[in-house]
Amino acid sequence: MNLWTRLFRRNQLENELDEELRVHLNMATQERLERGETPAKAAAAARREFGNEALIRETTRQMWGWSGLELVLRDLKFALRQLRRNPGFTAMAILSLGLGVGANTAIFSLVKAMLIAPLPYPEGDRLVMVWEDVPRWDIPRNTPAPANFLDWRAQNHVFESMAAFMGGIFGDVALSGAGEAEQIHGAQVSSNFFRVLRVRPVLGNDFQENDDQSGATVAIISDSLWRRHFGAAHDVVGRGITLNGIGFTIAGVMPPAFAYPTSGIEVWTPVAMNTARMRARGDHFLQVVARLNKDATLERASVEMKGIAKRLELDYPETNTGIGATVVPLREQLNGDLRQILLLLAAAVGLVMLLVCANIANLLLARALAREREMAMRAALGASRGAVLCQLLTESSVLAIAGGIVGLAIGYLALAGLLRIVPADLVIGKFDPTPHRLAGSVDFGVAAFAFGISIVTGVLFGLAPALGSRRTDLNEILKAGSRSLSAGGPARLRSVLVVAETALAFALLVAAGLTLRSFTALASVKPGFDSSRVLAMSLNLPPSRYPTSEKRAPAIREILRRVRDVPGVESAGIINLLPLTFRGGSSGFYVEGTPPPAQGQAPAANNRIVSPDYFKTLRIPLNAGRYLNDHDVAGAPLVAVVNEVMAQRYFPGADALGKRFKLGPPDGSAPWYTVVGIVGDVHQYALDIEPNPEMYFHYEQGRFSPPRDLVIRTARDPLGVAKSVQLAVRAVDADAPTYGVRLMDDVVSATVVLPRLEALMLGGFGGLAVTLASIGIYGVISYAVSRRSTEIGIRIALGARPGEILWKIIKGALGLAAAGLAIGIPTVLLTTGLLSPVLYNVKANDVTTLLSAAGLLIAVSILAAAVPAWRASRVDPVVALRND
Amino acid sequence: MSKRDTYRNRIELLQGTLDMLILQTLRWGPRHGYGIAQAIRSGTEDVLQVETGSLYPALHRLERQRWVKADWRQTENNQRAKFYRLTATGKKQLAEEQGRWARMSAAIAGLMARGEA
Repeated sequence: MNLWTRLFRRNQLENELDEELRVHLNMATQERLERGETPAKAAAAARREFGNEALIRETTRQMWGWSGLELVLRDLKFALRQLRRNPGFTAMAILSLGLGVGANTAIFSLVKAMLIAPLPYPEGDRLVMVWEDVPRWDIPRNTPAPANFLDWRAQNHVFESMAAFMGGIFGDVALSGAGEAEQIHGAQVSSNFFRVLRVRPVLGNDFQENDDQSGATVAIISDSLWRRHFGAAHDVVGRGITLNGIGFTIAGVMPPAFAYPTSGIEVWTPVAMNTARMRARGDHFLQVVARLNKDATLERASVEMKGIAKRLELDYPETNTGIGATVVPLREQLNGDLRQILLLLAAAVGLVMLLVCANIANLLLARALAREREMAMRAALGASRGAVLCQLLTESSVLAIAGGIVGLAIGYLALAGLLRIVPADLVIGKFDPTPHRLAGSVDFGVAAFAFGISIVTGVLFGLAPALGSRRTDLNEILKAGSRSLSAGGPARLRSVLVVAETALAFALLVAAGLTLRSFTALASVKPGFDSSRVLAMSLNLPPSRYPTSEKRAPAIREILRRVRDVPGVESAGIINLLPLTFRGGSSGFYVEGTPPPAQGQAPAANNRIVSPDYFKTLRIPLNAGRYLNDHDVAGAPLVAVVNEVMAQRYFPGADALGKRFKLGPPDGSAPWYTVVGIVGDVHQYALDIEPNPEMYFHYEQGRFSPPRDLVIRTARDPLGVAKSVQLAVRAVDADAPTYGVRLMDDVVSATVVLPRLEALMLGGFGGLAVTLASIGIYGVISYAVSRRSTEIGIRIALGARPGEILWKIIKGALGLAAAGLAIGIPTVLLTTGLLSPVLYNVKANDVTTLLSAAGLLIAVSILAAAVPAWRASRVDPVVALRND
Repeated sequence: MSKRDTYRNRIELLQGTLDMLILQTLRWGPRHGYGIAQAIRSGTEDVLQVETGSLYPALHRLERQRWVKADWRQTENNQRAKFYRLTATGKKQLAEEQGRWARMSAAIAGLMARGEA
């Protein structure tokens, strides 16, 4: 008898034993016949001598025995058979475990990578960013003025090093030379930039100490640019590269994963520190990254920087009044809004896991109740407690492992999906930016933990039936007939679980409802312009060849003319900073005839440089006066258009038309501009930030920053004209790259990506929660109905109407839901305030949301109870009573 | 005590001895279960009668311990039956059991003899 035979050929073994015993009996009978006994007598005597055949068979069978492994395999086989026999139960358990494990794996992988795992810089937790804090403009993190940065660096004792850079739209450059000009992400940095981050070029050298004094024409390039543009040539150091029309010499190549300050950055050049611009205190455009001293804490750094800022306020009241300093850990800076959302999602997904655990416990208990008789019978037939326990353990382990595996798969897919939705800029520095690694960054530890939870839940609650069966006595159980045995114990525990599930589901529903309302509120905010059928595209007229607005104007005029002529284009305009893509770009101003503002109290407004057709293209309404037009050019009277907020807030009597203002202080030498029109407000910064005061100048008259973003209204398909538009621009200047081609609709929706993600995720969790809770309610109610079918039969026999029965059962479900709400509502009211920071235009204790969530849960519980209740109302008393 | 427990106790009581007796009967060649029972019976002048309920569990236990091996063959009467035969380890086991049995019976005999005196 080998293992295989014993395990899988039990039938054959049984047959052989039968035959063996039969042969024995035959031989005994035969011998008696040979001794001369009558056949009848011989058979009877032989059988008597033989003994109880069934008992012999059983004791013999026990001798076959089971080794440890065999026992497990046997239990496993039985478990699989059991699970196959109850596909509904099995699927439900595995799926809910899988969803729980999967959601947790995905969210916590993200949480760990973004909030816990070290930044990809040596001692990255000592890196901070330092900003100006300007409460009067409501900008807590403003880009510092160069002179302030230099003073900060000279006077502090908390940072071992401090670097400045200009990134984002101020760092992007046109790369020309071989082939068409191409716009790439870049940054102008101080010489010590890489040393602060403690990352060195893998090829060539870091910047020299004084490269940033005059702005040496050397460049360090990214691994991607090195491969793409230089074919990964090892002799690239010392070769030339043309950026914005200026020749640079390549000094080094950075390692592949390095992407600071923005993802996709490809070139770093020294910023020129010894120019007049860099000695200014009134122009704020730098970003500052610093490394804390070994013995400095964040708090100390914060206190010291605020102190320095205070001194600067006293020393330079004109420029620095009201300008503080704030220190932000680099990680917090990189995570931005994502941090809060991730924490929220982590909390929600934790609740989901609790719910899943409760649901699994509930399902397993339900099975335990259904199998109480089986267990009692096994015990009565001699199965040891250990054997029953082992068997149950195997069953629930199989479930838990299957659930865990499904969960890992779901987690992997969910994380890949999440990373696709989360804006790439928010993921830099945490994940290797190459796509395949993004998808593969399920955290192993997190996955193992979630898997572990799945197993523990399964095992813990899988054992409940065995523990319950301790008290059971075969007699009781068999006597109890079709009625239930343990009305208390597991059954009561199930009700408790369902109440807990309802409370949890309520909490998740409220969170989902609130974020959904917040998102719809945000999504329904009118941006102040019409984004439909509008194409946006950025344009770089290299400053080396277009240093002044006089030099720029003809090119812009020609580009706009050619773009307008592209078939399918209705109108085209240009602006320096496209709405919803940049938070800043404002200038202080003074309105003629008003009292000079106190120091540090000068009003500021967004400084926007446009072409006249910009308004028409984005359909920004004209409220008074006129738009800018083609006559407001250089040499003509200086005019401006302001938005409603600026007119209301800063012009006496809100009557701005015909009034004059100038940029800078009242006694400054800047020229006066006359307001010729008032236009509608546009959400420049974000949909959830109220429109700021804003002023528009013709690109030939304004001088803040060169116009950069083309907007093109099309008759039909905006993306369809993109290529022709780019060709039109290239026809004017082949070295002026166009880039960032996108739909204006997408620009708008990109600003609500995170709120949408949040609403989607919480909505999903809420839906899952309600489903799980309703499964729980259904299970408890239908069990109660089957347990009480006799009682119901008697009631019906005594004349109860089906309606009464129906109501009685549904009342039971409502009781459970009510108990859940009784716990859930106060809990939610106490904790929902945590949501406030991520909500827009919705109060955290929004009554509508609370009521809808409660209503939904009650409706779902009625629905869940409806089927068993209907079944109960249709009980045939004759059948019900006979069953017992 | 249920009937089933009686069986169990008897098996335990007899286990070592019954195993030895069975192995002993197989020394001169393979036998089927009935043959073994008959051999023990006739070998002890009808003093020991092995019950079927003890015999077959014991045989299957011995088989599991690989002291005997079984296969199906024809009897002289042309009947198919399961024959058991000693294995090498079975032989070794038998020798050990015999030694132990000899010591034990000598010891018991000695005690009983002293008791008589």
